[in-house]
Amino acid sequence: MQSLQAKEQQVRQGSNSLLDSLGGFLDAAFQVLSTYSATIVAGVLVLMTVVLVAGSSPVFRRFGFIGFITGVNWNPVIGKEAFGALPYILGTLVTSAIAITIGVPISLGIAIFLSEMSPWAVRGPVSQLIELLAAVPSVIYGLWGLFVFRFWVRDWIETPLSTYVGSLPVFSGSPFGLDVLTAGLILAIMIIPTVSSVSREVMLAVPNSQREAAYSLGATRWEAVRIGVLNYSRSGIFGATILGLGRAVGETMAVTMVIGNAIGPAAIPTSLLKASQTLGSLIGNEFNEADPTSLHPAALIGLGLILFIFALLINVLAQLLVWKVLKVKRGSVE
Amino acid sequence: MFGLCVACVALAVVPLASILVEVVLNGAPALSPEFLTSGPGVIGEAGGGIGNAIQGTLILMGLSSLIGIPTGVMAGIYLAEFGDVVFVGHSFLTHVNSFLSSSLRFLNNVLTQFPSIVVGILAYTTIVVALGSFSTIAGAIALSIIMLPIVTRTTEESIKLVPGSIRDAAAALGIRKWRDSKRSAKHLEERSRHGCLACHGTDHRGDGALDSDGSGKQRVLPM
Amino acid sequence: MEASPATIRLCETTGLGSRSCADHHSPHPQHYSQTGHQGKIWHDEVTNVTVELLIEKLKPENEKRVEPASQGEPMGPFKIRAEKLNAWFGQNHVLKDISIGFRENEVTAIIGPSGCGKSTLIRCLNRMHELVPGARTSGSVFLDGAEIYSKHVDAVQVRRTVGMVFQKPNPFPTMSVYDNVAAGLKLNGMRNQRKLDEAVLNSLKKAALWDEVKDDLDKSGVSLSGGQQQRLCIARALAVEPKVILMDEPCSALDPIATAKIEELIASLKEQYTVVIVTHNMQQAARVSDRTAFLYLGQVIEYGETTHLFENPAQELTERYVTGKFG
Repeated sequence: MQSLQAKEQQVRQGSNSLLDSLGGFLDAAFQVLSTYSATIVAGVLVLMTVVLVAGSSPVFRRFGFIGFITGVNWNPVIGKEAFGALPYILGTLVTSAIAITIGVPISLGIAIFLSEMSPWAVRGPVSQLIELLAAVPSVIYGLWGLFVFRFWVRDWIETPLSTYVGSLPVFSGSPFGLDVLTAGLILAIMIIPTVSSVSREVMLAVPNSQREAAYSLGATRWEAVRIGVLNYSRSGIFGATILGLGRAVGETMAVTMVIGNAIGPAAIPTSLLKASQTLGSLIGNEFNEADPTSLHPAALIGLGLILFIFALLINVLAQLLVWKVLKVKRGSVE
Repeated sequence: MFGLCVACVALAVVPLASILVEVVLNGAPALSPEFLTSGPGVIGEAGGGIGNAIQGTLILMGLSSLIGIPTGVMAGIYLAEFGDVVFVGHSFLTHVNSFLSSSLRFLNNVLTQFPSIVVGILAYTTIVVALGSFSTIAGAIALSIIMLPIVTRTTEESIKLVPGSIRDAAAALGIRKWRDSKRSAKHLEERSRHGCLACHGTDHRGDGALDSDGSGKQRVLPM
Repeated sequence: MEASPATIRLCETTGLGSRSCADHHSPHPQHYSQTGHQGKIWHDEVTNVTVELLIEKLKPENEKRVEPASQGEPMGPFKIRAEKLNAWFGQNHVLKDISIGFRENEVTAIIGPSGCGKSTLIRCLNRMHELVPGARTSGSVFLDGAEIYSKHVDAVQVRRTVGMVFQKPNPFPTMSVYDNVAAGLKLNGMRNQRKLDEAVLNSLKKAALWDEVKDDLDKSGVSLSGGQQQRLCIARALAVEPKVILMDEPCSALDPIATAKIEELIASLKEQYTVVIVTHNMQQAARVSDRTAFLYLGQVIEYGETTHLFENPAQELTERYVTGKFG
C-alpha cells in the first residue's frame, strides 16, 4: 500500500509503469478497432454495389440496360432467353403504393392517438402492442396471409369489389385472394409499426407552444392537432412515409407467399385482383433453381440491382427528411 | 376524431390478434417432445419433426450473434465516443474524424432494414460461390450483415444517454478512454440490456429468403 | 336596496373582495368603514349575483389619493373578473382564493416574483390552465358578467373572446405571414377571401407590423425577427377580434428596441381592448400599465393604480418587492 506522498510523486513525475504504457497502447488500439468496425458498414455497401453490378453485367451486355428494364418477357431456357424486368418493377411499385395508401393513414391515426389524444395510462401498453407487430417474422405474415388473410380479403373486399365495380379495369378479374391487393394489404400491416413510431417521435418533438398557439385562437382538440402539430411535423411525417416505403419495397418473404407468382407479361399488374410478382419475390422464388451456366442468375442479380437502387434512394431520402426534423429535438436533449 | 384514431389502433391490433390466435390454435396441438427433436420424416408418412430446423436456427443465431454483436457494439461505441469530436486545435484529423463519423452514421442508418434479399445475393456471390457450396457460415455472415446496423445504432443511442458528467468524472480520474468506454458501455448495457437484447432478438426474425440463399444445406426457414 | 343573499363586495380602490380586504393586517388608510357605506350596486342578470362596489369614506388627508373619476363610475367597470379563484397543478395549490377585477380599456399589469402564480392566473382567465394534464380550477371567472367556467359555455368560444400572446413568439412555421394572421379566422369558419384580406390588413396595421411586411405577405412566419414575430402573434390574436388580450411576459425574449415597440403597441391597444399583462419587469409595468396587481404565493397582496402602487405602496410586502428587497 503506497503512501499518499509516494503516490503523489508518481503522478507528478508521470507514471512510467508498464501497465500505463500498455494502457496507452490499448487506448489507441481500441480507437482503431472501433473505427474499423464502424467502417464495415461502408464496406458492405461498396461490396454490394460491386457484386450486383458485376453479377448482372452479362445480362446487361446482352439486352442493354434500357432493354432489360423495359422488357416484359421472362424465359430462362437456354437458347430462348428473354429477360425483362418491367412487370416486376410495376408489381413492386403497385404493391408498395397500396401499402402506403392504406398503411400511412392508419399509422398516422395511431401516432396521433398515442401522442395527442390518449390518456397517459394507456400510452405505454398500446405502443408496446403496436411494436409487437414489428416483432412478427415476415414468414409468419406470409403464412398467415396464405391461410387466413387471403380468405378475408377475398370474401370481404374482393368479391364485393368484383360484383359492384368489376367492370372497371382496375378491379377486373375473378377474386381469388392471391394477388396484388392481398400482398399490398399485408405490406400495409407490416409498415404500420415503422411509420407510426417515427411519426409519433416527430409529433412529440413539436414544441408545446405550437399547440398552445392553436388553442389560444379557439381551436378544438382536433384543430389544434391539425394546425399546431401536423403542419409543423409535415416533413418528418413525410420522411416516416418514405421509410415505410423502403420497408415495403424490400419485403420479400411475406409478399412471395401471397402474390400469386405470375411470370412474364402475365405479371403486369393491370388489375388489383390479378396475380403478379415483385422484384424481391421473383428473386426469392427462382434464385436457388437458376441454372448457373445460363444467363438466369445474372438476370436475377439484375433485378437485385434495380431493387438495390430503389432501396438506396428511398432510404437516403428518408434519412435526410427524418434527421432534419429530429436533429433539433436531439440537440435540445443533449 | 378521437373515434377515428381509436379505429386505426383497432385496425392494427386485429391482424396481430388473428396471427397470434391462428398460430397458437393451429400450431399448439402439433407440439410434442418428439416433434421438437426428431428430423424430417419420410414424405407421405406420419411422423418426423422439426428438430433439425430448431438446431439450425439456434446455430445460425449463435454464429451470427458472435460475428455481428461485437462488431456492432464496437461500431456503436465509435460513433458515440469518437465520432462527435469537438474541434480541438482544428487539426486535420479531427475534421476528418468528425466527417467520417457523421457519414458512417448516415450510411449505417441507410443500411438499416435494407432488403434482405439483396444481402442474400451478396452473401451468395461472395461466400457460397467462393466456398463452392451452401453453408451455415454463409447464412451466419448474411444475418450478421443484417443485424449490424441495428446493433450499432442501438448501442450508439444507449451510450449517448450516459450523462456527460459521468464521462467527465472518469476522465478527471485518469481512466483510460477504452476502459471508460467499456465501463460506461457495460453500465449502459446493463441499463439498456433491454434495448440491446431487443435488437438482437429482432434481427433473427423471418429472414427466410436470405437463408434460402446462404445455408441451403439445412433448408431451414428460421424464425 | 336590500342586498340579495349572493352579494359580493368589492373594494373600489383595491378591487379586492371584501373578505380579503378585511384580512389585511396593516392599517390601511383606505379601508372601507364597516358601519355605513356609500355603495354602487349592480346586479348580474345572468349569474343572479349582486355586486356592491364600495367607495371608502374619504378622510381629508386621503382625498388626493382617490381619482375624482371613480366617483362617477359607470355600472360594472370590470370587463373580466375572477371570484374566489383557486388553481392546482396536481396537489400543488397555486392560486388561493383570488378575487380580482380588470377594467375595460385599461392595461393592468400583474407583477410578482417567479412562481407566484401570475401566468397561472391569466391562463385561468381564458381556460388554458385546464389543458395541462392534472390541472384543475375552482371558483369563477366572469367575462362581461357571464361565467366562463359554466357547463354551458364552450371553452373554445372563451378562447376566441379572450386572446393570448405568449412569452416566446410562436408563429406557425409552415405558414406565411398572411396565413398566420388568418389562421384564427379560418378556424372560425371565415372563407370569404376579400373579408380575410381585409381582416389580415387591419390586424397587421393594429399590430404595427403592416409597413414591415406589406411587400411580402407570403414569406414564412419564422423568417421575421424576434420582435416582428411577436407582433405577428399579436396580429394573429387580434384578428379574431377578442375583447380581452392576455399577455404572458411578451417582451422577455426580446431585445430593448423590440420591447419598446411592443410597449408602444400595448398603449395603443387599450383604446379598443382590455389588456392584462404579466411581467416580471417592474419598470415595464410602471411604463405600460394603468393599474397593477402584486401577486405573491398565489394571493393578491395589493392592487391599485400603478403610480400609487410603485410610489406609495400600501402593503409592506409590496414595498419590499418594488424596492427590490426580494424577488
